Amino acid sequence: MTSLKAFHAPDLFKINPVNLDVLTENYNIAFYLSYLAQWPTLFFSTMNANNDITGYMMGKTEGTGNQWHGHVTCLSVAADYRRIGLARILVDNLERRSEDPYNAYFIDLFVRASNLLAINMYKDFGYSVYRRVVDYYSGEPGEPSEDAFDMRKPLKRDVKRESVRENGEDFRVSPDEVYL
Amino acid sequence: MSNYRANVIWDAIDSRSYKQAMLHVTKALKRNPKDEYVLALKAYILFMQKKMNESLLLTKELVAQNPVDPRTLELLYGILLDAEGLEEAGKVYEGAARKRPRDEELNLNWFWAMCTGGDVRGQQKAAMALQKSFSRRHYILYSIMSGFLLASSPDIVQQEKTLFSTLTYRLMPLIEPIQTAEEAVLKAHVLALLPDKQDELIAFLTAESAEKWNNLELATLRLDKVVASENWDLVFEVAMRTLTKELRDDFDSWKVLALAVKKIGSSEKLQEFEKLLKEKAKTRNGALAAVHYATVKTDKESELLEASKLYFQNFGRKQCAFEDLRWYLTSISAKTEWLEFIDSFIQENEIEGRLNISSSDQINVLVNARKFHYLLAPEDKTFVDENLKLYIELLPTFKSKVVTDYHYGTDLLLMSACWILEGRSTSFAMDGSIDKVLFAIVLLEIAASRDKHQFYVRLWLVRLYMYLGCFQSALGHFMALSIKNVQYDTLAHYLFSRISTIHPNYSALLKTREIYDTNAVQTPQMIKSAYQRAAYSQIAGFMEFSRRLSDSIGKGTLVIEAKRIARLLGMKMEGLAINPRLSKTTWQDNRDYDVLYNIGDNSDIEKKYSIGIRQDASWVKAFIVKEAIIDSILEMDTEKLEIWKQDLSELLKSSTSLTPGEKLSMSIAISLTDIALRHSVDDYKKLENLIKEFISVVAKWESSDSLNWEWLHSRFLLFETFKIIQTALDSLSSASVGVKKRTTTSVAAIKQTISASVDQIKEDARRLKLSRDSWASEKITFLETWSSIEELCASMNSLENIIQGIAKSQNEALTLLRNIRL
Repeated sequence: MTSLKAFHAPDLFKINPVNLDVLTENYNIAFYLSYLAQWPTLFFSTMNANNDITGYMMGKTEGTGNQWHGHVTCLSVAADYRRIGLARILVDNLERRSEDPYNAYFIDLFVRASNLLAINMYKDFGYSVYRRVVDYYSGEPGEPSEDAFDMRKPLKRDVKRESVRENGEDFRVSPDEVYL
Repeated sequence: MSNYRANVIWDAIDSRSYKQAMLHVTKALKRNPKDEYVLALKAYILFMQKKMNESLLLTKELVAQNPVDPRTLELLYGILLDAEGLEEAGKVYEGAARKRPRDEELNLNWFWAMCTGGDVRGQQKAAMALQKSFSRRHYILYSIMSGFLLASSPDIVQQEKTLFSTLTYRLMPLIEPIQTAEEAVLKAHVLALLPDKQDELIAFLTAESAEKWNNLELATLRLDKVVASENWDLVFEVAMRTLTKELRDDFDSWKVLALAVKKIGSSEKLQEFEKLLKEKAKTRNGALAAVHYATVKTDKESELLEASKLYFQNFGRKQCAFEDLRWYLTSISAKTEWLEFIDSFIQENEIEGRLNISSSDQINVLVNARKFHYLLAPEDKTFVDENLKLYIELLPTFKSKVVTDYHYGTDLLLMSACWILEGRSTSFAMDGSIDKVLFAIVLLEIAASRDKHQFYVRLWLVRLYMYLGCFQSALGHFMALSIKNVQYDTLAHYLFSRISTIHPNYSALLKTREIYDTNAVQTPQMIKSAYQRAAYSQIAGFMEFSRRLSDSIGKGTLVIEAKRIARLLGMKMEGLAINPRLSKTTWQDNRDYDVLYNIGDNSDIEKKYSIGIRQDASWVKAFIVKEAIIDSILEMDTEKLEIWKQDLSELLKSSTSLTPGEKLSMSIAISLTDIALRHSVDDYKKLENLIKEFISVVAKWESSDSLNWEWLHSRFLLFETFKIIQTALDSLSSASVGVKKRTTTSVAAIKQTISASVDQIKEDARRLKLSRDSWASEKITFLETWSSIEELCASMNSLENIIQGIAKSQNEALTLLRNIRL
């Protein structure tokens, strides 16, 4: 069973089943709280009937003009609750809130070009690769850096669907050209 | 004073060169003896030098003059906050604001200081002052927010709650019309404070004007408050709208809908609900809602079972299936029926073509089935054997696993380990708890070798290795978890509970301190940021977070353990002093015990293998007072000893979280207090008897199989207590020539008792150390008789490595013990 709840700072004491996952980053206090202070509507969690947090979304809005968009900063689901559509619920809710009240044009996210699992998942959700950010992820010492795919999904405001691009994988940009 | 000179002083303070800083301050005061900021700096330097009386005297002199310079106020506030608490500290800014009521910046600084200092009462006062003196809308909102915080505070009495709730409510019209969702949330929270405003609250939350905000927080509040009103028709309407019109598949809405249907008792509503259930039967929430409804509408177990079977048929192939159904099925009487259904489901769906198991769906069903067997058939002697057999059959599927992903088959070993640890029946014999722990460790190490990032495995390994006193082995698994930031507060206890008396290791412990320093710096700034960004739904949470970390039991135990480790290892103890005022703190327990894998209905499995009784607030308080007593005795300052003796005696009576050895060490501290106050020979005799009692109770020689945390804890605790006694007696006997003369014989007798005990304990440790190899060989031989072991271990070396690793880790602890200098 899943319920969606707004995330609050004390929930940070309850996210170990999600955050002990090796691929989930544990940010410092200021990072989490700054998201809650700036975008309280875009930081929410899924809970089971025991009120345990089973996944969460950290989102934000950024950009100007027709580049005003919602962004997936962190989406993570606890291991026992994967492959049941929780990611879709979380992304769907981000899209809804980015449309209303933020009135964004599109949603975007960055994913490692080698992460086929995530790429295919987002494609199923209606996202497509908009551009390739070369060497976006710096590697560990002695290891090569990796490209990121900037994946986007147009929202209602993007009437002309300018956030969709054919063959986005071949459209290369440098990290400097990306929004901070 | 110029910024340049101020920076020079601050550079010296920041590098802890307090004497240097004081020289600069003294020079500056010669130029301008009345400079408030320089005087405040002087007070601050004295404070940092622990010259508390001088610092407070100067601070209070300055406060009496009602300074208004912001830098001065900040310094004085900080000193008083630490030394005397919120109320005294708040007066610094109140005085300044009274002197300059029309200084907006000063009043705003007052407000920010109250926010960042965690002073809810001060926040409300400052906000009201701002709101009254300056007509800005956001100051009214600050007043409402801080009024709400104060009215909700656990630290105020009911009369004040009523007063501040009403005052806050009366401010609400000043901000109408509401402009943002955050303001709407704030309004809802304020209305919720007042029992006679609940109708107004519900009308507000269910109005179109509130719904238009499309806000999750408001939606949650709406549902909660409507349910609390017990207006079941409205509950039905709101929940139905969420599920059908808003298309938000929210399980809480399903649950209250089911309850509303039962409460209303109308066939029309029932039909509407059942129609929705049917439409959503193939969704996870919908299928579970049917299960939930079965428990609401009737006591008949058959309906629950039918709904659960339907759910399992649709979702049994998902990992979540067990967790989803577990809480509904845990207490059923028809356990056999359910288990037979699961087993027949596997057969009917040909999942049991075990040689062909490859899809994760099939694996999920099989493992879920085993979990239900764990939950509902606790007497099955073949449980572990069956699990291991299945795990071995699944081994080929591990090859295709992505390294960072998890394999659900690992749960078979986790379950088996828990089964053994719980002491449930198995087909093979195990003597004593150590054997059970060893079996569990072997299973879990095998699991970790194939599923590297499975954190449930690692957490149990940390716990079990610490149970055996194997800190280094536990540390390896703890590091593999890559714990960071807030996780240190919630998870450090797995490694560091009672660490000073199991394997005193200072550098490992230090890392856990960073989060508390970070909280002290970052969270207050974020509270300010939340106000500035009008994130009213978050401020209460930020303040709770700040308080919970600042007053965390994890932090309390860390501070105590750091000092005790330094003492034991003969390290310098500068900077490790514990403020005795902390004994009055309301400690918060953020430690996460639920994350430890446990799929049974026995919550005691964690406690069974904990490192002593769970340390709670009383433990922290007792040790803080004990340290205050020790420090006072060493500094020959008896002013507060009588009070602390009383406090410690009370805590000793009431605390349920001290081990027997810890209780005796507290009694010894009390005994030392009596000596410090009276210097009588009788008191020395009492101390000597207590020491003998301590030794006889905790330092019995036992067989090598008993080497675990408890053995190490009692011996390290003895050594720590001996060190305290020795330094205390040396300090006490130098009180006067008369005292020294009178007590020489008694002191000598005590030291002799200690010396003999130390020699015996070190000799015991040496013998245990020498016996580790034969112990390891014996255990390896025993474990090799276990039929599954050969197939499970990648090679037999794995088993030897595990057991010899345990022996090695224990040896390290024994060596550490033998090297303690007394």
